[in-house]
Amino acid sequence: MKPQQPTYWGSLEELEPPEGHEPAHGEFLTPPLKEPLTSMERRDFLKLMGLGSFAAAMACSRRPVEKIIPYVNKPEELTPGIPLWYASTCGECPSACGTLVKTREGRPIKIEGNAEHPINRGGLCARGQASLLNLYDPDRIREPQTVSRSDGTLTPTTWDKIDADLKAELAKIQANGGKVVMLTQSTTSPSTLALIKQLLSKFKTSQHVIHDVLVPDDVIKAGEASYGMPLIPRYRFEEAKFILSFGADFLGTWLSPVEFAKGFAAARSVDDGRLAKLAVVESGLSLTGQNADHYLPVAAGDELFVALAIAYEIIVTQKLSAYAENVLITASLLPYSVKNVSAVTGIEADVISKLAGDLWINRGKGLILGGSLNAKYGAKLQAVVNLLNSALENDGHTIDWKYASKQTTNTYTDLSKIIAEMGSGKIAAVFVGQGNPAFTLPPGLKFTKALAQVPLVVSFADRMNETTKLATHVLPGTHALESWGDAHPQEGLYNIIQPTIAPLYQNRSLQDSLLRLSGAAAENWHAYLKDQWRKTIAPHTAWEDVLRHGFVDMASDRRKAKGRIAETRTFREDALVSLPLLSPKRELSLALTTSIAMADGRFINNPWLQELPDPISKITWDNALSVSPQAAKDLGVEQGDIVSIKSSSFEATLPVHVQPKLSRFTAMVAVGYGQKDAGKIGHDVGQNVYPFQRTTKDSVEWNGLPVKIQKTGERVKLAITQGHHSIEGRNILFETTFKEFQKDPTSGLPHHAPLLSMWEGHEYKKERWGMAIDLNACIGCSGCVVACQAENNIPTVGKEQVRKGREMHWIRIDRYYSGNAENPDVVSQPMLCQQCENAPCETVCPTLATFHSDDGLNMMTYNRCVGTRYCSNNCSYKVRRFNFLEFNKDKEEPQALVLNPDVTVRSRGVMEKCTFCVQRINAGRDQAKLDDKAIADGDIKTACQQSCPANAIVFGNLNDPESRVAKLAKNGRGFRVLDDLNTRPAVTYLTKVRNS
Amino acid sequence: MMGSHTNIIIKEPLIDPSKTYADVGDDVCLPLESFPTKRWWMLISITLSMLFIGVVAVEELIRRGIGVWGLNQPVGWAWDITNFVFWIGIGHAGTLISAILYLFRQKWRTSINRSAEAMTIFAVMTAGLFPILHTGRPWYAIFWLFPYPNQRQLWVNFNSPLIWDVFAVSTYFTISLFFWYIGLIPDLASVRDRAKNKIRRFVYGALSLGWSGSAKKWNHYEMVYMLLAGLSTPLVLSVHSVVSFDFAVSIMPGWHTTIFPPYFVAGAIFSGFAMVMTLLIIAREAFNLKGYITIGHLEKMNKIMLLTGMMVGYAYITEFFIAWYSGNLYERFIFMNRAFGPFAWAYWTMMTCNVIVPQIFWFKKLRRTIPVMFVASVLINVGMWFERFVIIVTTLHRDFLPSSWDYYRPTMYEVGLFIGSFGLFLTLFLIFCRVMPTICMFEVKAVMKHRKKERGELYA
Repeated sequence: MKPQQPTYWGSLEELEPPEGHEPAHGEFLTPPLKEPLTSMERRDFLKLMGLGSFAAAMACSRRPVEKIIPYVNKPEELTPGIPLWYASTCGECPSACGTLVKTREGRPIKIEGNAEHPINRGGLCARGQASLLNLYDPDRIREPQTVSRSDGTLTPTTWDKIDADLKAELAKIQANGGKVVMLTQSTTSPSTLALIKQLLSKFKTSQHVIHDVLVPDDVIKAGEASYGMPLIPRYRFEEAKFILSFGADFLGTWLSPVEFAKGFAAARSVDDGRLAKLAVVESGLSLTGQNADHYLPVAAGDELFVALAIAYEIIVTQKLSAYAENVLITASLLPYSVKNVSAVTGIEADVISKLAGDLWINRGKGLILGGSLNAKYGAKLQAVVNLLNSALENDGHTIDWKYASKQTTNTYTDLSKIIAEMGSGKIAAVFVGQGNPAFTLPPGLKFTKALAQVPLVVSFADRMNETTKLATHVLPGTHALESWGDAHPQEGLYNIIQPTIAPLYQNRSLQDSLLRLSGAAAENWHAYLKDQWRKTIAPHTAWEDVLRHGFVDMASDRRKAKGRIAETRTFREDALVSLPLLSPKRELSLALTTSIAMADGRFINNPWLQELPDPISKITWDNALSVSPQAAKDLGVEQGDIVSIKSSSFEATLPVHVQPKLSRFTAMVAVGYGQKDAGKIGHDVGQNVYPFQRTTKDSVEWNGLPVKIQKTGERVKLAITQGHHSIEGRNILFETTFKEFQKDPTSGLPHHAPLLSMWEGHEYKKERWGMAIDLNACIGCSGCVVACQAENNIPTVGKEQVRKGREMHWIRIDRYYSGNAENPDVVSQPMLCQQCENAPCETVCPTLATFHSDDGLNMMTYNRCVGTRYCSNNCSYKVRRFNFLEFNKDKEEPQALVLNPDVTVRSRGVMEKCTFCVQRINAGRDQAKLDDKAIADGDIKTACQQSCPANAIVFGNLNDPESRVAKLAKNGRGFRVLDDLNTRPAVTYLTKVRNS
Repeated sequence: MMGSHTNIIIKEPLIDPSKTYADVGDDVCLPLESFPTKRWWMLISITLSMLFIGVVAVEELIRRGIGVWGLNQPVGWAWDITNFVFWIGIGHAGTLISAILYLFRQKWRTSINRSAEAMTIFAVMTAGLFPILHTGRPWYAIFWLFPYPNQRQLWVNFNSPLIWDVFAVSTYFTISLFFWYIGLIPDLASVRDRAKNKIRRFVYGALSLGWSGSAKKWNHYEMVYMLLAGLSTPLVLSVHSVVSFDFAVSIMPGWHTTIFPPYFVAGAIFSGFAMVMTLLIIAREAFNLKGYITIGHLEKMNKIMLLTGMMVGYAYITEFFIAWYSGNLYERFIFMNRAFGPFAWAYWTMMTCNVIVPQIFWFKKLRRTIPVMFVASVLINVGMWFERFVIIVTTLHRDFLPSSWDYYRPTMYEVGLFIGSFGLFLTLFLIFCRVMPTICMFEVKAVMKHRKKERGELYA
């Protein structure tokens, strides 16, 4: 093998002709798309050709002529202009959602949820979809490097050299009997785990340590204490009638948000007569809290006391449930009477009793969830939650321990032990997978110092970060779209990860590197993986079927089952020992949180996610300190004031964001920002707040952190996309209560006489495209925003331009508050072009660049637009977006590869807006023509609809009375935004129904 | 000596009675026939610097895009269209003075109509920059806004008020230019006849189109001039009505009102007169024309400003009343937002300058005091600029969906272009003062009370 050609899965395919049907094969290896910087070479060729023709015809110049060169040998299956889809798995977080990756001419251009996949059922979160951009991130490390320990400089090297080097080092360690540690993020991949085991087994002592910020270890700890099961169960939201969360942000960042959002949407399908009630007791405001029917903001740690008081009310006061006679439990609960807890937390006793009563009424069909990540008293809180779920017999119905999640992480105790070993020089080598433990681990663990004591640190990260800098060798790994892989998200469910493009650079997957270092028999990772699947994982499923579907579910009946699936587990009383005492002191404390866009910070260099308005604060490109209006008043600060936050060991300065609904005892800030080596996009965005993490004897705490907050006197304008949050009594959105809705589906809506028009309107002979958006389903997760951005080549504009109000998103999530300023109700309203029948934009365009199509779309002809912005001024929904500057020009190689070739890239001076994904409509129409049949309802899905984890968006033909969208347009809950203007939008919204 | 005994009202002389016919020719042609004064050089170097600032601002605008301005998502128009409407408004006084006052036989117009018309032309030229420059792609807008036949069979949207604007403004400009030029011909011939060097004789000879001053020519001239005055008169009303349609036919609260056409026309005349006033006060000082542009002229203009100022004030109040009376939620909000929202400062500037300031002209003494009227005219122009700003920006920055609400701040490039527009306008005006007779000599002579003994000098 040539030295510059390391073991890509693909290049070995060349040596070992593939068996059977291999969709990915051939595509990358056939000229002219040979490896690895394929497009560059073509471009260079074109450039030279252009130069030649320029030299030949210097007399006059016109726009450069670019030629499209056809394949000399066209790969089978690949037709230029026709997308190829691969079933794969999202590799960004351990929930392992099934994906379908759309590729065009050999490059992945969009990631969508796999509708067949039992976890995410077609939905995909913003992070998963945006992970596509990480592939084309120009700041990735592109070749193996050695790192100088003294000054952290990187020296590029070759794979052969670094492999030989490392093998020699490892042989030495083997001989000396040194301990080797593999440190990874939570991975559920059975083959990778087997491989790691194989590598580690070569050494006398070794350990695989998992550190993943996103996995709530409290659930695992409490599972062990309560039931002797150290794992994370499977939550069945679709079965729930009453959901109570003590801070677990299951709709946003907790465990498997897309799976839960799908279940939650099913549990709240009001049109089927179901509306599970969601009550949230939390100290930091989460997306879940924002969607709560009943929201109780408390001080950090009080979640536990409220949970205890509820348990007290049910078990001790009412003497209900199987535990009423259990002396140990009643004794543990004794200090936490409703009265005591109410006096301390400020939550009225009635409210707690009512919650307890509701839970009891809905027993067996309730679902109680624990705290936020690393919450104060988190493990205890989770234990009480387990007690409640057992006492209420929810366990076994809404909670499944058998086909449980495989997400896992090591506990704080394990981590501190191993880091201490590192620090004392007992560890000979550390392998660090993707992830950035030097950044995310609490400073109390002194990881950075400890790692410096390890003589050999091998990093597999493909980007520079705080941890990579500490390594001695960097073996840059691949993106999930570049390599094979698998995942095991839940018991009995196995996913495959298919590569969709050859590695863009000289990167090699972690597994290939491990194989190479372990000297295993398998020729490459692909062979190893295939072998694993054939022998142990899915011996009875054809490999082709695995590739076609992307997963194998050995317990699909169980996952699809309705009703109770197991007996309720018995709670062990000793999980309740040493509960903390009720203390009456409540004051403002700091809480750290993972944001929807950045998660633990792994997406810092991703412009789509940087520019995604945070679903809670609407802030982009920054992390800010959120405080409640009351707390802001107490601190004497306003939105945009920069404050210094001081704990005993760390200080940070952050701008203030005033956040209604947030507990007045909490100042909340998102982690993951402030990375110094993140790359051009993420460099120095926001402030690092991980050092505020507090370590106790056996846990890490993220909230209830005592800090001093002081005004610095400086001010900054936050890059916030929505500054006003009241509907001002306008016909923008409507809500009703479940009780009213059951009496009258049109409740909450104003009734007025039909509006007259001076003309007869458009005639739609065939289709009229329309959309229905269910405000009751929408949770505001903003997955659709990224879906739209990826589908429609929407540029990001950067912090400065967002500050100026020039963000380009075609769909945005408007978020409105109503009611009391401290704890308002929230409605999220996706707002996109309403494709009005009487469109105000169309009549005012002087050049006819925007006009009405025969199928009801407001078309936009970019070529004809001169950019008067009159259409935008006259748009009552302000959904048009203007290219104020050239937002597409400063694309760095290879960022342009992500562009969807079906959608024009707009230049400056041009207006743009949602097209209802007209390219998808046309593709659907073409397909129907080819199949010689009419377009069926559901054949065409817009990008936002496809990605929605809550099924809130339905698109279709309004002229077909049988279509879902036409039925929804006539739904009793249906209304049109600002319908008093008589613009006749094609988008129907459905009222929000609250179960209060 | 003034007025016969049949006149009951004793009229003030229109021209300083001590002036002779010869004085008229000498005084008016002096700037044309002498080397520019130091004062003129100073003025033009200032205006050229302003123009240069504008050129730099435009260069940056075209090179980088509209993003150099402070516009944002809800606020798609601000200083650009404010300036457009402002300059178009300025252009209104000229035609009003030359056409309508001509038809009404208002003889006092004769001393000021030439420069007022010149102002119209320059103001419309300046205004015309903005609709082109405010577009995202001006290199296309310059063609595509006109309905010209093309092989792609692309047509403009005749429903769009912006297209109506293109027609209204270009028609107005063409007619005004002709009207001005026709009126110049007899005077250009006078300059030609006075010329002492060949080049000047040739240039003015060519410009005067062979005018000989024969009775037949005068007859034709009077006929053409009256016809053009007749043609221009409806334009005075129509141009700003059409400009107001940009707003009135939209659906935006605060824009969508039927009062806009008369309200805009009154405002345009108001601001146009204020601008004429400002410039004339300077010009009569700078070019020593006090005998021709008398306090009497200025007083009459102040009266018109008082009248139109009150019309504008009435419109402001009507708008408010209708917003309340209509019961329209959005309309009510927009007006409350204008007066008490984030742009209240702009609104109250406008109210003060446009409604309160002109009230001083109720007093004869103040009407006839130069410093007072100079300050007032400048303030009125400030107020009228803010009127357009308030209408455009307060409506856009908080429209229907509160989620989109935002604020607007201009950048140096908008301010630069604004300064540049003044630079262009004033430079053109200063050049005009150097190369054309700024006062209509033959008309002035016609309204002079001429004494018998000087009669021989009439044709000197």
